Amino acid sequence: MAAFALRRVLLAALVAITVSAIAFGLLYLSGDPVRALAGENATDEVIQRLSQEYGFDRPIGEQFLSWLGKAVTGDFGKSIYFNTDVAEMIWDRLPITMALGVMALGFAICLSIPLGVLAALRPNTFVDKAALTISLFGQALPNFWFAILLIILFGLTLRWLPISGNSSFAHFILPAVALGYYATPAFMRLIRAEMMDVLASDYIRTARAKGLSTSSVLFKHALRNAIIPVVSLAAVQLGFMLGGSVIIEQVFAIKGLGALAWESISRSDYPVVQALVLVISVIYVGLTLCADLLNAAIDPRLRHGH
Amino acid sequence: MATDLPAENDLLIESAGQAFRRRSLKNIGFMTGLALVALVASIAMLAPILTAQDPYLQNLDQRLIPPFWHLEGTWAHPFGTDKFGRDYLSRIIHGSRISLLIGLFVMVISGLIGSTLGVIAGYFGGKIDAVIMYIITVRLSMPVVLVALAVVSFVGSSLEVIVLVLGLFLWDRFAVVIRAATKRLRGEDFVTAARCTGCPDSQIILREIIPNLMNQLTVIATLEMAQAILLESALSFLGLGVQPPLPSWGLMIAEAKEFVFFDPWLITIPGVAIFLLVLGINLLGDGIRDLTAPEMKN
Amino acid sequence: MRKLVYGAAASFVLATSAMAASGDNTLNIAWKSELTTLDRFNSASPEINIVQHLVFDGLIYRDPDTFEYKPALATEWEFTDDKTLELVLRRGVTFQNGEPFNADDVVATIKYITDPDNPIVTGNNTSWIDSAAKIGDYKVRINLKEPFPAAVEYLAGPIPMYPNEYLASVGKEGFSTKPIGTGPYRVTDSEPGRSITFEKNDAYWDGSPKGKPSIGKIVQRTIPDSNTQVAELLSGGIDWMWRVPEDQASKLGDVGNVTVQANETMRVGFILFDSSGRAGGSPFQKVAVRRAISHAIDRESMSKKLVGGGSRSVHTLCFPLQFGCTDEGAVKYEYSPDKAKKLLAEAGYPKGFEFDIYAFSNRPYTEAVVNYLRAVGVQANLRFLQFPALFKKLQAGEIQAAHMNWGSYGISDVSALTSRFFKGGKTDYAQDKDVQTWIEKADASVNGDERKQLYKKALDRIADQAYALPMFSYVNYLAFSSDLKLPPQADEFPHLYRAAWK
Repeated sequence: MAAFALRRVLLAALVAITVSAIAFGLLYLSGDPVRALAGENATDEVIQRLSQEYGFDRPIGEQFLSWLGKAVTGDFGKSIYFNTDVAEMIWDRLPITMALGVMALGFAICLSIPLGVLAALRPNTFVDKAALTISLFGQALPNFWFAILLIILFGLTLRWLPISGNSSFAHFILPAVALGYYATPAFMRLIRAEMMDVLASDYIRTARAKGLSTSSVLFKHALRNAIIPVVSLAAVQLGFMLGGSVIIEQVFAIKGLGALAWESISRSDYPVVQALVLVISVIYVGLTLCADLLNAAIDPRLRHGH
Repeated sequence: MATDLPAENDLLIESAGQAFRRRSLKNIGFMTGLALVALVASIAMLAPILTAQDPYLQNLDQRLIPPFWHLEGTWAHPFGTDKFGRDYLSRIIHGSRISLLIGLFVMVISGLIGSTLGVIAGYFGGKIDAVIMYIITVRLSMPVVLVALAVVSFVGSSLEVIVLVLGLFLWDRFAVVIRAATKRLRGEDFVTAARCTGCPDSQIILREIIPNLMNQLTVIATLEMAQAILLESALSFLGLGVQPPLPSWGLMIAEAKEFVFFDPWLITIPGVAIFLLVLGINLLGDGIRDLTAPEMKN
Repeated sequence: MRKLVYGAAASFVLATSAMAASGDNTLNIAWKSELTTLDRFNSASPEINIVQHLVFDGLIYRDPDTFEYKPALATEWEFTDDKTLELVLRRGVTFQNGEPFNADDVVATIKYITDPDNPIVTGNNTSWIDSAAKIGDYKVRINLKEPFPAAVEYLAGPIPMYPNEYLASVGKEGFSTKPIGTGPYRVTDSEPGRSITFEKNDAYWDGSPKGKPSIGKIVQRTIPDSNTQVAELLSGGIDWMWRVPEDQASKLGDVGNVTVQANETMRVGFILFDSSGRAGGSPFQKVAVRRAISHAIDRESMSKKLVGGGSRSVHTLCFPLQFGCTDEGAVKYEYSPDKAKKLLAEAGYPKGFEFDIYAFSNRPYTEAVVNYLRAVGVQANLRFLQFPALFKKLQAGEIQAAHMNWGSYGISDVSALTSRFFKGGKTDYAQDKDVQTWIEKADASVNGDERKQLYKKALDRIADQAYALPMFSYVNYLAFSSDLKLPPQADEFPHLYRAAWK
């Protein structure tokens, strides 16, 4: 197990470095940070000075290696615009997006467990189809439109919830719904499939034969067994949400990583974009790694699968 | 913009083939999806015949006429006119082409990349598989939305850029599913038999493997197409989608968002259009999955 | 009202509930973009001007309604010769940290903005200044590099005064989050890019042309999406927003409890053509093509229907109220698609041509332009870029045509607009030697009449040769709670210190 874990950890680190290198290359090819930084009427001297100061005049390989070397020690340099530590900016905003992601996941799971269980209990009936359709509905709406509709209904007409910002728990409810809805179909399908597997298994049949009530079988045994794959899907989805919350954060004026990413892209604030790509991929890699190790610990066969 | 986890195990079950048509007629979801997609596709194909008016024709004296179901609506512009006085119905009809085009091209590009990688990895295994698995993992670990946004924002966006960027980033699901499916097929008797008779690998892949991947390919293709259409609308929201005056549905929704409070039909009409199309595609994909995976039913 | 389908209930709630905010004397405002620094000289964001008006004062004050110059931190000013400006400073003014205002502060501020080793972002606004010298505790001399008659206008604009001791102690970085000025409001809290809290400066100096502030506290939040801002405004979450999209603004005005104010700004739109072929051979090198494009676009309709709120179409490349701006006798291209088609045929493009048009803001305006061109057979592909990317391309000479707009930093002088695009240099796509000479002379002349004449010659030539197509002035729509009293203004950037609760 230890060797397996070590191999996976090394692989994960290598993946994160590759991702950064690709992002570094793409950004290098497609923009000019110094011009953006210097403003609309900067003189040539300013531009030259800044490009030396930030090291943009060196070859790209050298830039990347020196950046990576510092990044490993947690030093992402300074934002071109805010003159603050990039690491500090990201650290500041990470909890906000994490909270949003976790709440969105919570919503997705809370919605898909009952739907998935219902569907699994009555497969191929109207109930099954309806459950799937409900989860598909959300996925078919462009998410910013869905978000605006939520704002209009719950923020403006009913006035149940605050519209924008991230200053309290209530502020996160609408964005979490808007973000989480998109993950429901995946969870619902998974839960349905897992539940059907478990319900068909021998020990559940035995449990039923022993005369345990349906609800007890369902919640004490079947659901508990279905939870492990759900957790690993959740880990993966959380990784996606960190990178994918740009629009939701934009609409709800949440100052998380997504907003930071988008603003930094708009401003060509390279150090920030660069660091965000690395941080998010590390988080994603870390989450999948945990899920893998967890699964491997539970099911030893997986250790030799890959 | 959350992405589905490639749900391998749902897709891997082999087609029953024969009973397909009989069962498909009974599958409401599949039929609904098929009908919706067919409807949009035929609107797209017949667009020039269906529209009497130029979707690009601007008339600032005729701005923001409401659709026919409003009191002030007229039948001259059944869906009303937009901010520039262009006929909204014509734009919706022509927009179906752009949106389908984006979906199809992205699907083809990502499908080619993803399934090539997947087949090679699954078929040859060993070191090749390890390398390709690594590439797939890198791709999965990359926050694509961010990277795509950055690239499009710096390069400047256009229909070609959108299609290319989305196509180059969205191949992961193809690769993952096809790799696993190929692996499984490779162990099947008919492939082993072909290898024993000394058939070259390329022949086996083309004749034995690929035809048997068609079901899985179709299912992922539909999912990716739906995803691409939605992503284009998301990019449009940020101003990075297709450039106006091209009437893509995603762009129409994005352009109409400032009217959501007071002239909501402007966002509702393209919104419903895209909703029906994406729902249709998803239902179709789900339907195919159900129909080709009969084991799941029991 | 009937059209407010989605928010039908909203207006009802609005009408029945008093604005919560007015109770605690706090004005909640929102804007779209993030301010990366509160240091006026190092930000190019439009919103920095709002902050400047609140937190700082300049030596001279330009009345936002009449554009008349009034004494502010300087009580008197005088050109002692073409290149020397002497100012007498106001006594008894203190900065918000208690530091007294005197000649040292002026000298330090001028030094800060002209330091060649640490150039500021808005350097073009101060490039005319050579140095400043103290000639008494309350008297300073500003030395100009060359004669620059618009100096007073610039001093009344984007050049506020900073406290020398505080600036030296906190430096550029410290000042960017905790600025100190002499203005009616002080910044008590700021989270860069997210929110700024301003509180009334109770010790604001007597006799300021800005008057004493009334509202106790102004809290700014950054809300990137304008729909979300509108939702917040309708629900009472914020009390004030600006840059409301035109169509939304006109409808918002119909909802009870929201006041919409349209302020015409100095911002002028124009299409810049690559007349000199800097980006390689292009149809725009032919004057007939440029004139054809000029005839193809209905600027009048765009100005009335798309912009509204007092926008006017312009015929020369400047804002009508700017010093030196005139369209008398200049060629005017009326809207005529037929003429456009004829000119295109004469120029050898009977079937039109295709080109890339670049733009960076107000995309609908460019979209309308693209549609007009399409109607005469010219295919314009819209390339929408962020400003920095666009400006870089522009300076590199890579652009065939750009739909630009320029706010002149609120400076009411042609030198802030026309000179920046036709005086030679990297953004000059006409490369007309005559125009360059006239503008150079005019910028440096101290004789008002001579300046006007030279600018007119340049503007006439630009119009006749259609080097650029001037479009129309932009309008800034404000929407705010009807409980708020805010006088309308003639310049672009809101003077929020004038706000009061009814």
